[in-house]
Amino acid sequence: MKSLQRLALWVAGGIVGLAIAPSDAAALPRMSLTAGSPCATCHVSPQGAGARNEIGWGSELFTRAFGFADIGLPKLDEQESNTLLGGKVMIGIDLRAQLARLGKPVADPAAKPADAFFSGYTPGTKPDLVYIPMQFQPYLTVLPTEWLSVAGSFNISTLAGSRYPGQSPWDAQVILHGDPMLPQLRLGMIQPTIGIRHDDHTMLVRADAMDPRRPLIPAGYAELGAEAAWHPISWFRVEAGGFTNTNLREASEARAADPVRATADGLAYSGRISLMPQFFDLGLNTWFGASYFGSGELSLINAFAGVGRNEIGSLQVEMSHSTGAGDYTTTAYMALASWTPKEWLVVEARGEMATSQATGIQASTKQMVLGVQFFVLPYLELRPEYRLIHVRNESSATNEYILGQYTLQTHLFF
Amino acid sequence: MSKRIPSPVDHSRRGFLRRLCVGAGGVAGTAALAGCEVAEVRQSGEVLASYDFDIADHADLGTVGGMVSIDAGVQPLLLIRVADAEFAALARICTHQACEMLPGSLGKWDKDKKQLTCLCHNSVFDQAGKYLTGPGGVANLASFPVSFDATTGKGSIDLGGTA
Repeated sequence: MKSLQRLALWVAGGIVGLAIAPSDAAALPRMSLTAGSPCATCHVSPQGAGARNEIGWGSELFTRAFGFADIGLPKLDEQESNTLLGGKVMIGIDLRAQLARLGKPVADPAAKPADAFFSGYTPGTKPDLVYIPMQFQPYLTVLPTEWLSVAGSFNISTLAGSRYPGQSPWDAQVILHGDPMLPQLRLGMIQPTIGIRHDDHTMLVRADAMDPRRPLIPAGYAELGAEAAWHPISWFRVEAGGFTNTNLREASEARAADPVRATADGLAYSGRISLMPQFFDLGLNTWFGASYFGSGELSLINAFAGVGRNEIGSLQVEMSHSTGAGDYTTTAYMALASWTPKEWLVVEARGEMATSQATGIQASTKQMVLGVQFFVLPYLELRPEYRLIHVRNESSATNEYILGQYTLQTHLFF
Repeated sequence: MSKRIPSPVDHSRRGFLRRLCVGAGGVAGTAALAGCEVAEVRQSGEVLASYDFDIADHADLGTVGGMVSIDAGVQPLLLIRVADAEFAALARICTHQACEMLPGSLGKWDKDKKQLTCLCHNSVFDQAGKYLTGPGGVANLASFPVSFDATTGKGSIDLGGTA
């Protein structure tokens, strides 16, 4: 047992040492669906993602296969809170790193089509397996009064140049949350509410088939702006906001086709309406709704639905349809199923497809992901996945490829 | 505000071993279900041994620092005029996240530093394709030898060799 304890400590220590840089403040919508609670139950931001409040922190402390006591550190199981100064200050952090092959396979001159697994293809050279620092993001939240929260974070990895076009290195918000019957207001550098906020930025419902690895709404996307959220009853919620479009334009201009095509700083608008009926007799939590996000010539509509049951799992579906400059059109679909055999072990499978077109460009992408979220120790998640992607893009030099690979994400959080 | 949250987790040795087995089984099961890695392409064009070019066909190569995009059969390349009689031929797909470094778009050649930058995430490579800076852990770009006759303005990229 001692050797196992030492091994676990080495693994945890190694992960801490390796996870050094980033990308996104993540959100797990399945948690809201299975628990039947809004994201704000566990997160500082009513939108979810990022800093966890005391309930979220405490919940994660005991979502684990092994407690600190199992590895000889029982004192750490006795932590009482993530708050300081009598609950006026909350701290937190996310560190993520991913082992994956980035890029496209390239033609191998020596390969023969007969050796390919898929008919009509030729074996290619796999991109190198690399360790990608994704996120090193400390959070600080101050709660000066019961109706005011001030929260911010900085993604330290962006200092090293690891930044997606349009990704904001920082976010900061003032949240006014007084009477629950009145709208909440968020002001600052924040992410507009668009569809479901997933924790995987490669999802095609936020990208297009031309650049599936570089979403139009990138990881860590945020703009200066304000958003009001009204949640007067448990089953109804509506958000509306106005923002600058600086980062959106940067993400758009870096694409094969620029759907925003705004030549000067302008505004972006968002709105979402959600219904969240719960069927207590069946133990089912559901939500469905739609959102609009637009700026310049871009219009992005997302529609989504989900159903979940505690201790069993969830099913989510989402579709997006966007139009923009240059006859830009993208339609994407996503279905995601999760099964929770243990509270610390979640099996997820999802399928996605997107078709895009713009002037002179026609592309289609399909992606399948099968993975496990394994909460090994308190604050430590391992996420092994198998990802299979098929891309056909008439505008790219590598016209069509299939890449299937194993990936492993390590996630330390507090 | 700071109440102790009771642990719902069974801390017994049997519980520990049970969780160990289930967790390891889940990870192993996922890997087993996943099948094997696959990387296959279907491309237009053919595999060439070499690619001949004439700078008269590429106005941007008329001056030092010029860079053009060339599809040499199945190889997507950047051809860069590094000096009067010196050219570099580098793979056009960035090794970081596969962005296509098209001249005037995501590919930027600094003729003074003799460095290629992928504007997707600022990965920087030298004229031999060697990765210099940018997001961590990025491989070098494939680089191919280029011969050039300054008197005729014609040259050739050796696609079978490594520069």
